[in-house]
Order: sequence, then C-alpha cells, then structure tokens
Amino acid sequence: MTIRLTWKRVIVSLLGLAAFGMAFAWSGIFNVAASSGHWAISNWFLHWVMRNSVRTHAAVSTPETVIDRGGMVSAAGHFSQACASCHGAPGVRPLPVMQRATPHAPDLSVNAREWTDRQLFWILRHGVKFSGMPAWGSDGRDDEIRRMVAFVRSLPTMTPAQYRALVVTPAAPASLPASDAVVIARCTGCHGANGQGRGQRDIPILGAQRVAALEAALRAYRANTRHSAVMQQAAATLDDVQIAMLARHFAAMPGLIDRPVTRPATSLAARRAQQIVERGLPRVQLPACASCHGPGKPQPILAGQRAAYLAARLRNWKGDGKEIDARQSQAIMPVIARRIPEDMIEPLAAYLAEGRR
Amino acid sequence: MSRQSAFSTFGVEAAKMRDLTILMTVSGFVIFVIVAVLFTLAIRARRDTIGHRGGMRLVLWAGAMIPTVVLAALLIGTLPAMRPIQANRDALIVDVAGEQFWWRVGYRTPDGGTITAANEVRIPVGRTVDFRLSAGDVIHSFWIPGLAGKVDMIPGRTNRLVARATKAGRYRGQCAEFCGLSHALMAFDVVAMDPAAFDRWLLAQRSAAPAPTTPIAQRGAALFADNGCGGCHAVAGTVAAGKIGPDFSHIATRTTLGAGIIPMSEVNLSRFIAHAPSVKPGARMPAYTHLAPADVATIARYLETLK
Repeated sequence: MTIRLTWKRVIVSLLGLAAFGMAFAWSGIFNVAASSGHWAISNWFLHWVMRNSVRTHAAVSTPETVIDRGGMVSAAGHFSQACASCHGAPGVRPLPVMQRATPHAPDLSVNAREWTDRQLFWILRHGVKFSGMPAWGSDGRDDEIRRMVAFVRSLPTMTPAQYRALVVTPAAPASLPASDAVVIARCTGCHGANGQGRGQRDIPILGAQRVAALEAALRAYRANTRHSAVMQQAAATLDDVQIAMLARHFAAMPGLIDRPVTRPATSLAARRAQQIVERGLPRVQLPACASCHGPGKPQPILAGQRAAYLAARLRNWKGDGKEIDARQSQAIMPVIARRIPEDMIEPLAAYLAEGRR
Repeated sequence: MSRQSAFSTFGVEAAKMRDLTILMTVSGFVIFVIVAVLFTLAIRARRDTIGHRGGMRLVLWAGAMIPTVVLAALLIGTLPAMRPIQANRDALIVDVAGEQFWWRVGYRTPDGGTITAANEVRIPVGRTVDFRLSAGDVIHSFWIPGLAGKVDMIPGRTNRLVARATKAGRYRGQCAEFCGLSHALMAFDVVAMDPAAFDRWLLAQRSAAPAPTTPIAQRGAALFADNGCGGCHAVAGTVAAGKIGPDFSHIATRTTLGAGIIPMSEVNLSRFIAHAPSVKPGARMPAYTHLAPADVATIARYLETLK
C-alpha cells in the first residue's frame, strides 16, 4: 500500500504532531526533577548545543584582550565568595546541595582545560542559559572578567596552599568584637589586614581614606549604582551598621595622605599632570582635580592612591572616548574623565600616586 | 511691548532697520498695486486704444524710466542705513563670548581692567557700545533684535558690533545660529540703563559680594567650596576662581537663570545645580544628583546672597 503525499496531508500531520507535543507538555508527564538527572542522549545534545554556541559567539563577540594576568587576588576573592559554592576550589569541596543540581557545576580544575581564554571570557561575561551559570555580576567591567579568566585558567595547576594564600590573609587584631572581625575578614582577603590592597594593581588603598567616602562607596555598591561584580557581591548583604563599622575600621589605618602633592614635578609629563591637578585645563573645560579632591574636602583622597587603580578608574569612566554625547552618563566623574586627554591619564595617575612618599 | 522684537526697538540701528523694512514693504505694495491695475487695464482695453507709438512711449516711461528713478531713489535713500555707527573714543567696550550654552560677558574699564559677568548685558542709554564678539567652542550668533542686527560669533576671531541704545528698559537677546542641543535655550537679558545708574552699577560690580552673614548662607558657602564649584565658577573675593563656567560674583542681581531660560529663584537654582543636564540638555555642567537635596538648597541659598 502506498500513501500519496499531498500538501493537505503534510500540513495535517505536522499540526497533529504539534498538538500531540502540546498535549504532552500540558499533561505534566514530562519529569523536570533534578534528582533524576538527564538521559545520556539529552545530556549529550544539550552540551553539544552549548559548546557550539560558546564557540561561535566567543569567536565573534569578545574584545581583543580577554585575559589579564596582572593580579589574581580580587578574582580569587570573588571566586571564593561567589563561585566556589557551586564549582569548589583547590582544597575546597563544592557545597553538597549545589552538586544535586541538574546539571551541576563542573569541577574547573578539570573543565577549564576544555575552553580557550576567549571562550572562558565569553562564558564568564554572559553566563549559560538553562545551566544555572549566571552572567557577570556587573556590566561594563570587562577588566574584572579578564582577571577572572586568568584565575580560572590557573585553577588546574593551583595547589590548595596557593589558593589559600590568594584568598586568606592573617586575621584582624583580636581586640575587635568577634562579630566585627567576621565582617572585616571578608574584606581583608583582598584589601589586606592593613587596608593596603595586598600590593595588587587593581585594588585601591583604603587606609586613611575618608570615612564618608568609604561609606558612600559601600552604599553605592550595595545599591548597584556603582559597578563592580566583585564589590557588589561583597557589599550586597552589609547593613548600615556594618558599613559604618568597616568605613571607620579602614579609615583609621595609615595609607593615603590628606594634603596636596608637594613633590616637585621633574618630567614634562609630571609637570602637565601637576597643572591638571592644581589648575585644570580650561582650554578643554577641565577643572582642577584639587578643586574637589583637596585637603579637608569631602571627596575621596587621591594623593597616595595606587596609580594603576586611578588610571583604570578614569578609563572606566571615560568609556569609549566620545566626549560630547548627551546619552552618556552626566554624573560628575564620567563628565570630568571624558575631558582628560587620553595621553594624560597615566601621568596624572602616577603624579597623584607620588604623594605617598 | 515685546522684549524681543525687531519692531519694538530701543536702539539706533534696529530703528533704522525697522524703518527700512516698513518703507520697503509699503513701497513694494504700492508699486505692486499700480502694476496690477495697469495689467488689468491692458488686458481689458480694446485693440488700438493707444496705438503703436503710444504703446512704445508707455514701455519707455513706465517700464524703464520710472523703475530706474524709483529704485535709484530707494537706493540713495536707504544706503546710509548700511553705514555702521562709528565707535567713538569714549565708547563702552563689552566683550561677549558665546559658549555652549551661555554668554561670557566682560566690561572693559578705562583703567584697562575687565569686569566679568555672564548671561546678562547691561548698557548705558545714549552711549555708544562697542561689542567685541567671539566664541569659545562652536559658532554662535549674537542677536538683540530690539537693538541691532545679528552678528556671528566665530571661534578664533573677534567680530565687532557697534550699537547705541535710545530707551531704557529690560530686553532680551537670543543665540541666532544653531549651536547644539540647547541652542533654543541660549538667551540672555539685556538691560538698557540711565548712564548714571549704569556707572553706579558698574562700580558695584567691581567690588566683591558681601560675605554671607546668615548661618545657612555660610553653610552654603562652605558646601560651595567643599564640592568644588569654584573649579568652574568664580566668586570674586573668595578662593573660587574658575573660568570654565559662568561667573557667580553677582549672580543674584540677575533676574533669570541658565542663560535667560528660567526665573532666578531658590527652587530653580536648586534644580539647575542638581540636574543641569536635564534642565539644559548638552550643557557642559555635570549632574550633582549625588548631593543631598538639602545641601543643594543650601548652596542655592548662598548663591542668592551674591548681589
């Protein structure tokens, strides 16, 4: 017997199949239980789709530089606070409850070898649908993702001792109340027990910063108005009392200096930086840094801050470099940073950092 | 009376231009009516009404001679209007620079100094004023319709406009060359004053505003300094000496805010301080939304004392 294929029959069959599919979904027979895991074939298919997607998108939509080996402390700290509960870490088992997810997060000491730097960057930046892997906690912070790529890349060869050295520092002095010490210990992993940022290029010096400036920063991170996946994660659960305590704790340490940079500028670049700090560049409508960041003024102290941190912060505000664009942020520092000539960012940061000595 | 109209004039040049405009319009209309009447008669007239010879004579007189005489008379009569007013030796020199989107104003004093102001031009009635017009960023155009014609302000060069006011009063000027998002929000007040009153006013401008006396104004002055307002704005007699934005030394004597767009009041000052980019899209001043509203209002209270 032969069945003649007509348009009408094809369409009716397809509609029938669709109706059957909908009826199956509606019936609830399909089991979404995580406890039962995936069939081998669905596991293969889902991973195949995911790998293909990551390969294609990583190839076409990642920035030129995707890895920054300049310092892994902040990435390690973020990993321990945000990632290790699912993925585990060297010497740290993932939380048992997270391993009961379908799919459960892979062990990166094995799995990281399967991806290129570019693909790791893309996964960290965008997350993976249906897998529970979230996107990066903040937009516009590719610099943080680059450091995390370097950290994940080094996981397969990292010993538990090396990992502990990255995320833990000597405990805070015992004179503090125990409840405060716990909160402070969450900060000192990256910022150091002395508030100096453990010598990391990307971590600012907190010691001797103004209490109000530290409080404002923590509040802004908590409210998601200041962007950093690392700091937003760290500040998310702090209450006002804890924020005030932390600000006082770190502000009381030595570090930044609340007086103008007095070191005589030696090079031409340093002299131009000094001019921007003290008088600004009226020609490009750039006011002096010192008009806001001066001794006794409420704005954050810059003198003595880490140069690499200052430069990165200015670049982040500057964005794509378009200066006059009403659609860009009109908040004060983005507006100011866009007026700083690109070739003056490094000298300016270096000049302000000089104030340390 | 309109404050910004080329027909309600308070200056010599604008009055001449208004008279010229009226003369040309009326004359043009009269001539048009005459031509239309002749045209109608010509169409309706019977053949051979005036004959070939009469027709040629009409073409000669009405088509060549009369227009030549009328146009020559209009030309000779109106040419003097093109002659600019000469700036005499005791002319008041006023520098005005267009900026996005405000006006930097400087009055030159006989001793070689300059008194800086912004967004308001005051001139003495009867005295010749020599405007030196420039621009800080893009091309703007300086236009006080009631006083004189418009003159472009071009970055890198100084244009001159000589004018003389004839009637005291408050008037208004406007940027007349598209210069960016807030071009339409770039106006200014013009005050033509009795010469004696003007001299007194100029003398008062030379001295600093009195130091704030009330606690709230003193606190506003401290906030003004702490938040770096002086990096862009100057207040004579204080450490604030910025030249990037408008001078605030006597801001409270001006009746409008934001280059002639909103009335001067504490509420409007606060609104401008906190939300300049939305009050004036494209303005170079950043938003100060990070300041507490009470602090913003306190700064506004301080600015209100700068008379």
